Amino acid sequence: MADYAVVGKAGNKEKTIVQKLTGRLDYADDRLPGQKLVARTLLSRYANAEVTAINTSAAEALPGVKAVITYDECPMLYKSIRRWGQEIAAVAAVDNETATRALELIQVTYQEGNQISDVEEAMKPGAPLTGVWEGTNIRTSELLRGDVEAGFAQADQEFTETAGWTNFWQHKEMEPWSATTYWVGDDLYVWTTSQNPFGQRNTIKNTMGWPMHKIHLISHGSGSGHGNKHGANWIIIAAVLAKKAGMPVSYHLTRFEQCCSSTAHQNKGKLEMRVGVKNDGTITAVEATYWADGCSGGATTASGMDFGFRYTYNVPHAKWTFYDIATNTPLRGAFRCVADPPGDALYNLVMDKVADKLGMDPLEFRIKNLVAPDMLQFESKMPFSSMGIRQCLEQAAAALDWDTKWHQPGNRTLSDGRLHGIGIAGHIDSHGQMSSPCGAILNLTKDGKCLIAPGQSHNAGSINAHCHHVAEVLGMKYEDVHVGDWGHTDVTSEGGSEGGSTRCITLGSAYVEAALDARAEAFAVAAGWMGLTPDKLSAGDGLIFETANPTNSKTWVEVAGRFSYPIIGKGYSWPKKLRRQVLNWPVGTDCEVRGQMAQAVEIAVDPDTGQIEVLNMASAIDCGQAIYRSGFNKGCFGGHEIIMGETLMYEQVIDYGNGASMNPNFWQNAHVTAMDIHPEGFNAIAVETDDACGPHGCKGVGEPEVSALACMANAVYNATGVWIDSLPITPDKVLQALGKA
Amino acid sequence: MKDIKHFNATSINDAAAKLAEAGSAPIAGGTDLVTILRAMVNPNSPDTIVNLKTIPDMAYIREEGDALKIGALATLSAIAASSVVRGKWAALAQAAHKVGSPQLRNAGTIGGNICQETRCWYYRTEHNYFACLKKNQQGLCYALTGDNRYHSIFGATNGCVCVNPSDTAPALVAFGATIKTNKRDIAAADFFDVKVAPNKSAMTVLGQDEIVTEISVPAPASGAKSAFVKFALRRAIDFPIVNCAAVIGGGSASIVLNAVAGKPRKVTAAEQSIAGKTINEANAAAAAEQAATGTLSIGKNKYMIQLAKAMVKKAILACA
Repeated sequence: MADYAVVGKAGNKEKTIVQKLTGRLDYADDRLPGQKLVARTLLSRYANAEVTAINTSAAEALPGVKAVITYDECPMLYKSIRRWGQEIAAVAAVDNETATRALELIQVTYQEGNQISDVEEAMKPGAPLTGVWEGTNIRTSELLRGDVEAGFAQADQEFTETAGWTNFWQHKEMEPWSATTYWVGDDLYVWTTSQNPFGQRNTIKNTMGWPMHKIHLISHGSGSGHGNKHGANWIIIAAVLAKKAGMPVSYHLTRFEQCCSSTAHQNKGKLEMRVGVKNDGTITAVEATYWADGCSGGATTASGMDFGFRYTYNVPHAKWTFYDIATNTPLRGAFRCVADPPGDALYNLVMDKVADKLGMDPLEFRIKNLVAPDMLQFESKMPFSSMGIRQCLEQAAAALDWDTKWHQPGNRTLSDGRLHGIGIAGHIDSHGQMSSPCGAILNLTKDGKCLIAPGQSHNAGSINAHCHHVAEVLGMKYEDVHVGDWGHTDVTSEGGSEGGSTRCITLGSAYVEAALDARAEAFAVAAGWMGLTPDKLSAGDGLIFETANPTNSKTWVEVAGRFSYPIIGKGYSWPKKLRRQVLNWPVGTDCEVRGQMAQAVEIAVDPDTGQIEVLNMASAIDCGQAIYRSGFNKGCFGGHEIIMGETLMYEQVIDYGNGASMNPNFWQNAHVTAMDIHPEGFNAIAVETDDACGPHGCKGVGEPEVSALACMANAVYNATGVWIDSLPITPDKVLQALGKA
Repeated sequence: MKDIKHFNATSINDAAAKLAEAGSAPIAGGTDLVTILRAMVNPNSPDTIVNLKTIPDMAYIREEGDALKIGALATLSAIAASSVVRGKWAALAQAAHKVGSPQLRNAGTIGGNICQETRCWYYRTEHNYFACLKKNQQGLCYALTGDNRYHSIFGATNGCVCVNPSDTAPALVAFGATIKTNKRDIAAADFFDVKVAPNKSAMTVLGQDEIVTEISVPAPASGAKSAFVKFALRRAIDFPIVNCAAVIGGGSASIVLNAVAGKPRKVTAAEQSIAGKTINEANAAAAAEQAATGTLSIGKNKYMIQLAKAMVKKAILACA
């Protein structure tokens, strides 16, 4: 591993921490106070219906109402309804109360259809159509690898195991969708919450036909995203209202709207897997069927649920069959990917079930079947740029003293009468890779500092990671690299989507290039002053110095004082290719860059109440190289908090009788608190494998922890001796499993 | 949410006179009422809110003779912190402390806590989506056939399977408290009632212009101990899935469950089982088994029967 001066050093602070802690980081709803109208949307009271008539005249006549729009004027409002809570009309009024009252005055006539919000009902032969797809509720696809039956012929034993369903729930971001919009002539100005400002600009252009250069989109503060803030629905509704009203309009969703309208939800998934194994635990073949609730959006993503298994395990013969089922439930969308969390939970559960049938320690079973670093990925035929899955499993297990604490299921009781359990899971993720091309720009100022201007919002720690990349290349101190403006489509370069755990590596590589570009100009200035050529210079610790004689140096402040103009550095992201030789694969080889992870958890289960307490948890993440170290720790802990909630309680309950969401609020569908997740028992471990593609050896870590879904279920089995393979694992299920309910 | 007039009452009589007018409703801490109004839960929401917090001298907590006297406007945080309450009436202090979050306890009052409406998610769905039995006499109890994982394990009350979510109510019933209003004294055990007539969503027997003024809690028998336990999905903030208060000692036992029926439920068989006996694991477990007497699973809530038993056992053991 390289010895970096800035990268990976502990103690480097978050760049906008003061703005965040003092409430000065500006969010979309903070803009134009007192000058803007408030938007509200009318949501459908049916889950499957056609709107046959709509009358908005009474709403328009209400004093204070400035604009009313329907599906005739805005493509983000709908006449064909496929989910309860789908948007039909929108109102802009002087205040929230007036807008809400106006919605009550809109008269809608529906022709009701058959709603099916229970995925198991929708997939039954002969089930009424949900209307999402033409003529069917089910779409299917397959993937084959090797010769499946030949693989099973090599097996000594076969097991068919099932797991699922996983849970359906909404992200529950602290900041719901929010946009403030206004028009100056034909120019649209937007402040919005975002995970992809430039992508949103593109969506607005494509949807509405408004010229891209006339759309000025700014996203500064964003109250978390997790995959739900790539779209532009809410922006378009606000913009159309603003255009019609001739005034600025803010659309900030209520929690009810955020849960029920066109926001993304984590969908349900289910798996049945036939596994052929030799007596020593070697898997010879699998035949898997995945089912995914496609919800009402028509997305088909069941085929992504197998990704982690295909990349993690050395199984030469396999067949995967995927079923997406359309239901009249809220939209399925990305939450730490669309397919990974349910998929990773399901096959990791099945792996434990098979290990249990074999009488093997589940950790040993996993390690025995892992892909090896010298293997090409089966489907892509590419090598991995780094491979730390085995270290992740071993280090997570060691952190919890696995060898001592793992026991046969259901045979260890703690002194207080609770049942002790320990579980592990791990996988190679589809994320963390080098993604679509993007660009970076930065300024070297004449006072010897650097200002970066990333084209992304402020969702995560990657902005701080860019500062590390830049400081390392420029040889500046971390505190001399600052964030200028960001997330502003007029003045920053296109930074790509802040999703898929890709910004630290992808935009990070662009920032390495931008820093190299700027450094070359600065070295030219320094070299001229020092009587040297630029190739004789190096930089570090705030100095530019002669490589052969480091005492011959100038500070960045001194050199910048000689700039005749501020230096601008620009760079573009790297292709997904090896940048150094790995085993026998040369530089330039197309490669797989994948985040890898393992989690282990130790729990106590109260047999009287079914309550699960997390005692300790270790999360080992192969990040290649931790760039912004406290960001790594915070990201892991944030993932831990979310996954603990998803595993133990998060569920958006749908009334199957009519498709209504029963708990679109924070009091029945709440976040876990610090009292539930025991921060002191959480251990984040950076597994550093020096990735051969990423800048400074890094990979993405934004989506760690999803293995924890399964490791919790595996721990519950270890504690109770009973499988609970549907999520969330709530007390009712535990008590039922224990025969007490 | 419609426009609502706000009336600051200066006295009980002043408040009662205003409440006698149709379309008015009282407010104290507002932690329940405001959420109902904002979500437009009920189609018959009030036109006038009568603010009780402007009435002086109604937030006291004091021991008078052998009884604890609490003004209806005493906040839950004040009750939880009171050394008087935490002495002889520990279960009540514990119950007040288990309500919501610190912010909610600072705003919420004991009067409001015992008058709060049910959390049934069919009743509470925004914009009156489910015009259920509590809002519409021709309506249905949707929970009976729908998702009833948090509903009554002791059958329906007038066709409704909602539960009373109060944490302090079972403690008051267990202590044999008296709820004083501007019109009468009501035993806590008689105070709670699930009304299912239109525009009568309240969970108490209070009349339209009737206001809780004071809660009087007698001292438990000499040597008795009390405890309150609560089971919720989260360790903080949540409403109870099941809670339980117990007052045990001096040869008698008073054990009350809540969130299991339309009103706090005295578990008489369990009381009889443990009364006069040594409190130990075996006796507590035996008494807890009795808590299941009369329970009825209606679909998804069978686990609540086990939780009721577990809470009774835990409450008994906490009185040791």
